[in-house]
Amino acid sequence: VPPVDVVVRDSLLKASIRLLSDGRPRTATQIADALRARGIAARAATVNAILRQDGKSAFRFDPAKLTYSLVANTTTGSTLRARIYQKLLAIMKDGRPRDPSTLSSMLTGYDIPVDRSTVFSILSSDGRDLFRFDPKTYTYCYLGLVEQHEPAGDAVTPDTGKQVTLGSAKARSAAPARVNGASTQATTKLSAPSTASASAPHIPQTALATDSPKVAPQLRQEPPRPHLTPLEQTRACISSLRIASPGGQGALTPLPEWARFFAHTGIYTAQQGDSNNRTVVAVAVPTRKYAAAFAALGIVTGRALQQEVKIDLEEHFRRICSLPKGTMLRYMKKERQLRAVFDGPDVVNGTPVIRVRIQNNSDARRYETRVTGTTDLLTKEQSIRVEVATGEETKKGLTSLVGGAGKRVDEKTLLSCYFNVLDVESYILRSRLECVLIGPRNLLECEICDTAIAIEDSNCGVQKGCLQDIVRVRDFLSDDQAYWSDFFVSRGSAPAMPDGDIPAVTVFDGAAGFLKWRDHWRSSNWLVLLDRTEYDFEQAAEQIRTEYVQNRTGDGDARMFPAPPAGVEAVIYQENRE
Amino acid sequence: VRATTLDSVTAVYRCSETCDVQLHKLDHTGFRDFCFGLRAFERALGDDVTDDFWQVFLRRLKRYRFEVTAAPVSFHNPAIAGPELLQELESCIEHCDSLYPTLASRATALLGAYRELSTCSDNPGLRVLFDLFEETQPGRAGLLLSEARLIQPVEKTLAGHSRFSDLEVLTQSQLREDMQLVRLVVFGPARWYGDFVFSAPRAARIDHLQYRWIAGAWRPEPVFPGSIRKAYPSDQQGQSSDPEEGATEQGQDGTNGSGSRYFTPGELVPTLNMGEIARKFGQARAGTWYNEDVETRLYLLEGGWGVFLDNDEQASVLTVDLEGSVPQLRRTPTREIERGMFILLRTEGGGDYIVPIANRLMGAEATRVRELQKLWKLRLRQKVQQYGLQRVSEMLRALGSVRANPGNVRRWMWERSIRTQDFQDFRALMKLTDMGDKPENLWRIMEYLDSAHRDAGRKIRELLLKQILNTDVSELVRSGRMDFQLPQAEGGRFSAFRVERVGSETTMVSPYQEGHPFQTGE
Repeated sequence: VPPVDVVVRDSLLKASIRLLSDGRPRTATQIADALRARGIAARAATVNAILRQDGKSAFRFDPAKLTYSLVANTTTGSTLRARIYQKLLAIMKDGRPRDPSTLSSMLTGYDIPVDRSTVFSILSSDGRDLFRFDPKTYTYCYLGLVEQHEPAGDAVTPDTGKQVTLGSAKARSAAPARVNGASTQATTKLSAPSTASASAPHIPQTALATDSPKVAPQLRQEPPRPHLTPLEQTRACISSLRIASPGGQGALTPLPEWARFFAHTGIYTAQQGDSNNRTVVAVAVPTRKYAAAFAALGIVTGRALQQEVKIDLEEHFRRICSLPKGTMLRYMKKERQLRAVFDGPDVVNGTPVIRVRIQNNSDARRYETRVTGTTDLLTKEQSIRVEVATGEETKKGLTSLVGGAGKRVDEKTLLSCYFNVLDVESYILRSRLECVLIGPRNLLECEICDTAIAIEDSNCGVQKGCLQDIVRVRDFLSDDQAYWSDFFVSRGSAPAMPDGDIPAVTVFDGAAGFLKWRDHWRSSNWLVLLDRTEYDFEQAAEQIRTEYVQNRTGDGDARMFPAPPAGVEAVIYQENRE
Repeated sequence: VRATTLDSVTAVYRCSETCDVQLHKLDHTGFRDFCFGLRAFERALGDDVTDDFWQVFLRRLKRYRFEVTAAPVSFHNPAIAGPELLQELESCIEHCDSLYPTLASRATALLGAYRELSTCSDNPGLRVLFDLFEETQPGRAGLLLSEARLIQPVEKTLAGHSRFSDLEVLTQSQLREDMQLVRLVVFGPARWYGDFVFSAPRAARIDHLQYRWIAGAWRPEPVFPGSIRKAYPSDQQGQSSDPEEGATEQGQDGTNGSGSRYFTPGELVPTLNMGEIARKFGQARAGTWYNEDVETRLYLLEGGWGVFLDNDEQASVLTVDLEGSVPQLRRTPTREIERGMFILLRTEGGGDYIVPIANRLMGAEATRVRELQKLWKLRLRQKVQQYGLQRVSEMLRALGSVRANPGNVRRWMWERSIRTQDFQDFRALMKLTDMGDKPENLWRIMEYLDSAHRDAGRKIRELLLKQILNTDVSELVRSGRMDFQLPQAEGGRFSAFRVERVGSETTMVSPYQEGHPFQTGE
């Protein structure tokens, strides 16, 4: 069967539904003949392939008579449209603005697979009196009476030692309450040094951490996002992002349509595959520029929100306590990330704590010989703000150590507004390799680090940053900070191969990296971005075609794939994971 | 790559969304008869087509047919149909009557058709361009040519007409960059260009001009099997009702016989035989024991140039890297040189340009150092002449060398080699050649010479980079060649060339040919 465009596929399915709605079963040849009469050129083999694959829920195949008929409850065009409209109405009644892409994916979740343009069409025509489209944000808003929902999220009790679910909205609000309580108690009861701490001779100042992570009051006022799946949350995050002008002046603009496509492609690729299979998404693009940068944004955002990280507080605290004294730590205090040193466990008034010394001197090596700085005592709950800094977090190592003043984490508020439900302190403190980019260094670094973004929210105000604040590419970080992505140069002499962790997605930014290094990355999903203007484009496309024939074990779920903009062509298939 | 904004990327996607491709068919009876006459003559030659007698005659006529098909220039434009060409063609078939009496009349008729065209001032392409640019339109427009060498004659042709004042003559490499055009005119068959010219358009409208008798207008083809894509505006355009017209390269084999009313695009491109060029220009001195012949690979460069580059694993060449925000000069291993890259070669002055600069850097020491270098090499050659390569390498091994073998011994004899990589090998060489009891001293001198060579190379790179940074490199992207003039004492003129093709086979050439570009005459 020759490759069939989604557009053709879609129109063939719709026309077949209309044709068979008279109740008379037909063979594939009869359907093909009838469709040809309606201007849809299709062979019987194509009809067979499409009705069996994409239309299996709508059509029943009779193997004895080789005929197709409609499944009893299959809706025809007009009733389907009405059903979509009703569902959209139900979703939008919460008053929250949403873009067509988000609505399309939500409908898919309700088993009504429709593309974004259909949503657009229905809301603009059928729903023109009830919905207002905001061309600035590309979102629709419900104009009728808003229905209030109960906030969603897992109920997390503030019992000490229970798991904190970082991906949960409630966890975020529950954990600080608990930590605040412990903190207040400690300040009251531990005003005098404990026996243990008094024995420490050179600590000039002992203070219990009083800056317990608080949810900014304005964030708590943020209206709840009801019934959002992680995928919807991810798409909502992307939708909330704005492009800021490089100089910081000028208006904020929504992400261009093509940039959203790449971000959504990143989200899609990140959520595919299982332990046995991996997904390959190859995309031919008119220009490589910014495609990988926005795809990485989608991958990292999606993985952060979809793969819940459960930190076992007991285990975490035990691990920190067992560290040798002098271990370098990354410590999140207020809006600053500090380079600190583990000064051993302690017990204060019966409460186990860890002693974390913040260095006054910018040269950490001095700590070995001279004890200086302030010591904070952190309870088990507060220890979540501490992580071991091995010096291997960035490839540059411990080249730029941060002293007592610390590094102001300017991106923290931006990240809080962007992720909304995520524990951003953990995001900033703990490395996780979710995305590897293989491409041209100068260009990619410029695209990720120099693209000014912003979140505009009635509560947060305008928070500005750059793509790197979210994507956190290890190579592009200025000092020892937690990363979420890594980068390898495609045309370098050093091999681009994994040095430990396997990322969820490997993004090949251009043909060169794909042709040269692909075999090292067959354990992760692939997003192969091929620029049509590249010299190696045809060679890389041929390689994809060969692998598609030789390695394909199944097709990707095309229904969930974002609609490509003009000039973009994509193929999705599955392979065995190595 | 110059700083790219999100807006410019958005403009690229907008072009993909809206771009409309219009095909304009050109016609000219005289030229059509010439094209078909040349094809018929070539087929009438049968097996004689490979005979040397016809090679130049056919090649010149095919080149003319190609150039007229590739550019909107008049048939008598001196850049493609100068008087010397007519003389050359006439001399080619001077003795045809006696050697090929049955073909003589056809050859004469073909030459007559060419003679007539070469005096004809018609320009069908220019006529259509006049219609397209009838009214002055705001915005940047481009005329795309497949051959950089045709830019100049086309620019001269257009220069006299004010309506083309905003029309830039382009080559497709420029369309790989962030170029935004209101209108792009593509001249010549679509298959002469990368598919991206049409599938990743950089203009809101593309006018495609080609002669009526060439098959294969551009149509969007899926890149991947089972792919997901939005329909192109061109998808909805009607297809030709003539199946032969839609023929592509596949139709070239036999099915597209002399009776075909169409030419496939590939049929019109003069064939380049890399092996033949390598054989013609490569001058090895194989056979002599002392030869320093180098194993090289042929690289065809923009503008009909070629160069043999050392194929050794360690060999490298200066390249201009335009991928970053500012141009960079790099040493790239020759084995990594690919089509589309820019290599820097010396195009003025012969010999090794590093040696005189290194000598100047060494000052008064230079003479003594060079003499010592020559001396141990001379003695080594004498030993090889006396005992042979194999025996000398065995003797060196016996003296403690770890890498001595006939290949390495041959390399150590070369004037270009300064010292061995390993001191143990050098010590054995010094012992064998009776260069004194203290090889360490000579090793240090050779290290000094080596570092002088490196400093000289670095100095030239710095000077070149300075020039490159002060130059508008977009001209390099457009024409595929750019010259950089250094003071004579610093190496003279260097030229950056775009690599067009890389030879698949290696060729032995003399060391004096390696790295020196030459005109292939193609």
